[in-house]
Amino acid sequence: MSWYSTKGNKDEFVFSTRARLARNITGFKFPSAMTPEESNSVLSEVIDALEPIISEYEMYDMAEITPQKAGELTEKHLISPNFKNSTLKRAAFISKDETVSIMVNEEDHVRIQCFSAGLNPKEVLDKANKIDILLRERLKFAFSEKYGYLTSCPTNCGTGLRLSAMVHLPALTLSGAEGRLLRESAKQGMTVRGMYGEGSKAPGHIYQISNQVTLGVTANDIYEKFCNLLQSIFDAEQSIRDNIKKNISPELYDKIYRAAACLKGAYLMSSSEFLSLQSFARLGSYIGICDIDVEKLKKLWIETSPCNIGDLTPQERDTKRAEILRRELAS
Amino acid sequence: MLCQRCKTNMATVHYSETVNGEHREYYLCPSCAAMEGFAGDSLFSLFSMPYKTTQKLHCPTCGSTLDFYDTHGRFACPDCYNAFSDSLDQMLLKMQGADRHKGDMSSAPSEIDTLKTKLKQAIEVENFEEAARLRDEIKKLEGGE
Ligand SMILES: [Zn+2]
Ligand SMILES: [Zn+2]
Repeated sequence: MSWYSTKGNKDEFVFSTRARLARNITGFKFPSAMTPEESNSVLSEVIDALEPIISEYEMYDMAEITPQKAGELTEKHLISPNFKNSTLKRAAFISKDETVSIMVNEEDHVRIQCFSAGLNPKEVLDKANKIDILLRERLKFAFSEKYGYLTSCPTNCGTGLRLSAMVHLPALTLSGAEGRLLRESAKQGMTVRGMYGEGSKAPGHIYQISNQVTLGVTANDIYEKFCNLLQSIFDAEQSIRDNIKKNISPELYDKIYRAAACLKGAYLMSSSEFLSLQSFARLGSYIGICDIDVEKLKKLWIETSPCNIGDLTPQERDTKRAEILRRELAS
Repeated sequence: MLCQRCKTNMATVHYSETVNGEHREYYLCPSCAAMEGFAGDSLFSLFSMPYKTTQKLHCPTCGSTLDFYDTHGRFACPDCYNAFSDSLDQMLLKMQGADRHKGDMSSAPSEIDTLKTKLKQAIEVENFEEAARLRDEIKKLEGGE
C-alpha cells in the first residue's frame, strides 16, 4: 500500500504534507547557468554522497525515463513538471515506499522532498533533516553566514525549507471565505495556491499551503507558523462544516447526493469531473449525510490520475476511470 | 531600487570602480549613468576620467552580471550572492522581509574559507593592500592548524 492511501492525522482536512530542502554544492554554477558536463559531475558527486543509503532508493535518469513514467511520477509530486525536459543531466532518487524523492539538477543541485499522508510536518521535516545531515557530511553545500543556504532563486535562500500541505477546504470555499484565507495567510508569511500552482483556481476545493518566507526565520519558526496557521484554517473550516450540517440547503444536499451517485455509477469520468465530485462526496461524508469511503477516494485520486491510470487515449482513460470507480466504490 | 543620483528613476545600471584602491559601487538610471560618463563607451570614459577604470558589476567567480538575474530570475552561482549583495539585500527585504539568515549555522564555512573568498574578491578589485593583509591572516591560521 502506498503512503498516500494510508490513514493520516487530520485526514478530514489534509491529503498530504511535504517538506522540501533546497541545497547546492560549492564550486559549481547553479543549474540555471551550468553546462551539461558540470551537471554530470554534480550528479556523480550526489551519487557518491548517497552511497550509505542508496540501496533504499530507485534512481530515475531523466534521459532514459519514458514520458509515461515521468508523468506518473509528476502526478505523485515525486518530480516537478518538466523535470525531464532539459539538456542537463538530471535524475531523481525515489525511496521504495515513495515517501522520499531527491531531485538532482532541478532548479538547485539537490532538492530533498519527504512526504506523508495527512498532517505530519514533524515527521517529514525530521526525515528531510536526516538526509540533509548525511549529505552535508559528504558534500560541501553552498552556505553563507549572512544568507544561509545559497539557492539559485533567492526566494529559497536561508533555510532552503518549504513546508507544504495539500488541504481540502470545501466549506470555506463554498462560503466564499477563501479570499480572506489568502490575505490572512499572506500576513503570516504563508502562501495559499490552487493545486496546480500559482494563480490557478482550486479544482476540487484543494489548496496547497506553504511557507513563503525562508530567510530570517529558523526551520523551527517555519514549523510553528505552519502548524498555527493550519490549525486556525481547520478551525474555520470545521465551524463552517458544523453550520452546514445544522442548516444544509436542498441544493447542497442534492449536489452531494449526485456526486456520490455519479462516482459509483458513471460510464465516463474525466479527471477534472472526478476532482469536483470527490470534493462534494467527501464533504457529505464528513458532515454525515453520505457514506462514501473517503480513504478509498483518496487512493483512487492518485491511481486514476491521467498518467497513473495507464498509457491510454483520453476516452479510454475516462472509461477505465469510471470502471475502476464503479468497482471500488460499490458497497 | 532608485537611482542614487537623481533619486527618481529606477536604477537599472550597476557599475563598480576602483580608484586608488578604494572600491565604489554605483546604481544609476540610464540617463544619470550617461551624465556620469558610465555610458559604456570605453573611449569616452577613458578620456573624460583618466583615473577611473569602469566596468559593470559582475560576479568574480562566474562572471555574470545582474542582467543574468533579470533575465532568468535566478542567480548563476553561489558567489553571486556576495557579488550583488547591495541590490540583493533590497530585493530580499521586499521578498522575504529579511536580509539575513537566522538559526542553523552547522554548514557555515570555516574562518579560513571566508578569508579565502575575501582574498579572491580583493584581488579581483585590485585592492592589493587588503589582499596582502588577508594573505597574512590566512597563513597565520593555517600555520596554527
Ligand atoms: Zn538617475
Ligand atoms: Zn556568480
